Amino acid sequence: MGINTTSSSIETKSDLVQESAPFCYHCGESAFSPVIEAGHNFCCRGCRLVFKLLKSRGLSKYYQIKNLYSEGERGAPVSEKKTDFSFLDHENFQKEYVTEIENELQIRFYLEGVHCSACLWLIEKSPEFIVGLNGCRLQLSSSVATLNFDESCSLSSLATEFKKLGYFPHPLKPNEKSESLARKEERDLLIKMGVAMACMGNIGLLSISIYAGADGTIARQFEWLSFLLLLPVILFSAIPFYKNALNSIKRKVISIDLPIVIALVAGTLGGMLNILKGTGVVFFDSMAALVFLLLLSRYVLMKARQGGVQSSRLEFFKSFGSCRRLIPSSGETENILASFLKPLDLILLKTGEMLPVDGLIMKGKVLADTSLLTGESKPSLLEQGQKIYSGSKVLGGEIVVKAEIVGDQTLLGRILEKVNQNILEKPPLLTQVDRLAQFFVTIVLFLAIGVFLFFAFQDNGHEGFLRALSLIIVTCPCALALATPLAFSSLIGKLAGRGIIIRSENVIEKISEAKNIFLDKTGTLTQGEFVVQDWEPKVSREDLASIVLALEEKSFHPIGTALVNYIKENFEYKTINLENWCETPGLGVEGELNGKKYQLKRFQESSIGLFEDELLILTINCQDGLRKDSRKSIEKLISMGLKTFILSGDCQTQVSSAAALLGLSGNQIFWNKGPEEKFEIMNEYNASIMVGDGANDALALGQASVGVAVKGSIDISLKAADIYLTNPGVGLITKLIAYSRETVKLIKRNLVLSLTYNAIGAALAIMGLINPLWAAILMPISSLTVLASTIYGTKKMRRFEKGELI
Amino acid sequence: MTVLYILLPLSIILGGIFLAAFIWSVNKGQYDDLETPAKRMLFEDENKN
Repeated sequence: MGINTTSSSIETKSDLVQESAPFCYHCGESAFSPVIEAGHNFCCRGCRLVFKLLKSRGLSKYYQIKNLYSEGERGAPVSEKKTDFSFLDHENFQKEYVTEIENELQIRFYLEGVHCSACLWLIEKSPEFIVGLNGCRLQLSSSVATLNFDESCSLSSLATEFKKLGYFPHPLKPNEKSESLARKEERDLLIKMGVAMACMGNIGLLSISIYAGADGTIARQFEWLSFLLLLPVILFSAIPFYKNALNSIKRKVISIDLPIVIALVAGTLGGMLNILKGTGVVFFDSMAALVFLLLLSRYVLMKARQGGVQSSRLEFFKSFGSCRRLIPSSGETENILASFLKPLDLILLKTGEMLPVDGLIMKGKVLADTSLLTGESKPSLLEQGQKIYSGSKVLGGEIVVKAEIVGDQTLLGRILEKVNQNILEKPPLLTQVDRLAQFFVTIVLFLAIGVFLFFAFQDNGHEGFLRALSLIIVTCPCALALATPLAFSSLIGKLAGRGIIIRSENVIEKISEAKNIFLDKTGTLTQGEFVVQDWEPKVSREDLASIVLALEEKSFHPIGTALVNYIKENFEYKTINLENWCETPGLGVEGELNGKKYQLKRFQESSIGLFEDELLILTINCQDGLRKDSRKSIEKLISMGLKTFILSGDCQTQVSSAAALLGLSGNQIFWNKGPEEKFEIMNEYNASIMVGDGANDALALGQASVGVAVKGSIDISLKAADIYLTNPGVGLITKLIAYSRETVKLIKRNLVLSLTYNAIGAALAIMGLINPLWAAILMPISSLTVLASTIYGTKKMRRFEKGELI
Repeated sequence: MTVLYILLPLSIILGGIFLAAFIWSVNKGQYDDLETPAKRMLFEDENKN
């Protein structure tokens, strides 16, 4: 009964809150139980802290700018956790990450949490209040800040300052090769586009006079001039198409580039022949326009991808972690980056820390959470002489571990390897649009060749050539090629602003098609920490809370911490000094008061009891609390027609009680599932989205049609996932699905539009009713219709944001 | 119409100059980040005295 009564009380409470939840003054999230400061609401203490800090430094203008220029933008709540950045000051680290430029030191950080122009203002203002920081430039689209500083300021203090402002810094290695390559590629494309456009404009001017009826010498001279102007376009700007077409021939597939190249070559040669013969039309203007528009569409797509996530950006989160290394000679510890650890190093591990190596416990005893590897939410007790594996998180206690295996060969490293391999083996996603375009292009190509041959056999090669060329030009899928990236780019940009980072635009279609959604429980649906659900005294006494407090205050078990917080918030308590206090990890705590022995230990599964001389006087139910938005999100998912499942490595009672609170029935839950089993389940269910956060989810995330990693995800599941949510919880998933569905609808509409258009155009071209010139005029018109449809579609999505449709 | 023989090359040279300027600006990195500078200029300068 205990669970049920609390569930209903939680329900009514959250229903009440949802109706009138104010928004956080700092980050804009709904503040379910607001913290109030200076008349403003805050969603958490972290946000309030940043507000106070900004106010004390006279930086309150941040909020003005935020309201003025960043309408609708939301950040993420600021975490209050303290992080020790002293590993940044380590010599090895500086050698790899810091560059020296003109007597100044430079480092780049990826700042997690940057979202709007007010962030830009605040971060670029930082040199005014951080001593030693001389310059700071932020690139908003990639959230990368470049800092110039001098010796008077340590890196760790810099990092701590940014952390305090609410932006978690991840250091970046300088000038990574892939990055400079990508930049070169982008600039290259831009220059090719510029050349194509300049030539297109000039050819266009010349062509107008020819179309207008210029004749004789002037017309011939203009034709020669436009031919000269076309040369840079054909020989320089169009290079990417030749390369792609060659590649596609090598891979024995037909890509859009192939007919483009054929049209370009045929058009140029044909036009040249016409000039030499002095008869017929030239259509160099449409060739140049074709190249320019196609390059433009590629540029738009490239920019769109940058709005999402580049693989290099995901690397930031990888291998990032520091730990304390014992220096044997002095007995002191230093904080260093985990990747600098060597075998036989001694590592000191304290509560809340995660072990980066496989090793042997040399000293101490801990309660460790190994859920990362096994999915088991119950902690296990490990002591001296036992092995401990990478990825284990210490819940309580302190140990010294001798590293045996470091780096890639650790258990965690090997799982990572496997995940990587799975990703490599996963075939690249072919979207419906790609497949359709391929099919379409093949047909057009064969049709064109057929038409040409048909006329050539009738000894009318010239007519055949004209008709085939018109056919290829009029059916050029560049409208589609431009509209689809545009739709994707606006979606990816919009989602990135909401904290949803998409690795590749190809998954959008998969999301819209998904039928099942699997949610991990621990850390995804729940907070990932224990919360007291139920407090049931068996006798009426006033000192129960004080006794429990005294028992648990010194405990390092997570339940103990939860109890202490709960008591301090809900009860009046006295400080009691217990005698003979002792804690047996895995069993409980006990102590004596006035000759009576008090024990707090596990009573039934997931509940604990307080015993006075072996007599039960109080039961407490502790659970990993559900996130506030979990129930609402799940209801929405179900209303969207998705079969919703919980897929957890946790025990049955934990999972089913969570499912009951979330309104899910018994056949929609899976419990006790290890990484391999989760993987199998993903294999069984097609068209499913998997949402998870632990390393135990990584395999499944890689296998699912769409893998979504939620905030707090360990790097490994991040690597396997297609999408990363920067805000905790599953609330963003509903948005992601709604947006994706709308975008796919839009793209399908565009497809139908352009296919109809192309079919009509193709028929006309084959019948010889339009010549290449008319084809070149009709082509941009079709592009315009598709573009108009895209713009209309994205407008509709804007209404989404205002909450009119969701 | 002979004026065209002066005007046309002139216009193309002019176009070429702009194209060269564009290529120079791309290589200088002016197009690398299209978002941040657009927002940066919105902030008012504070009084330096």
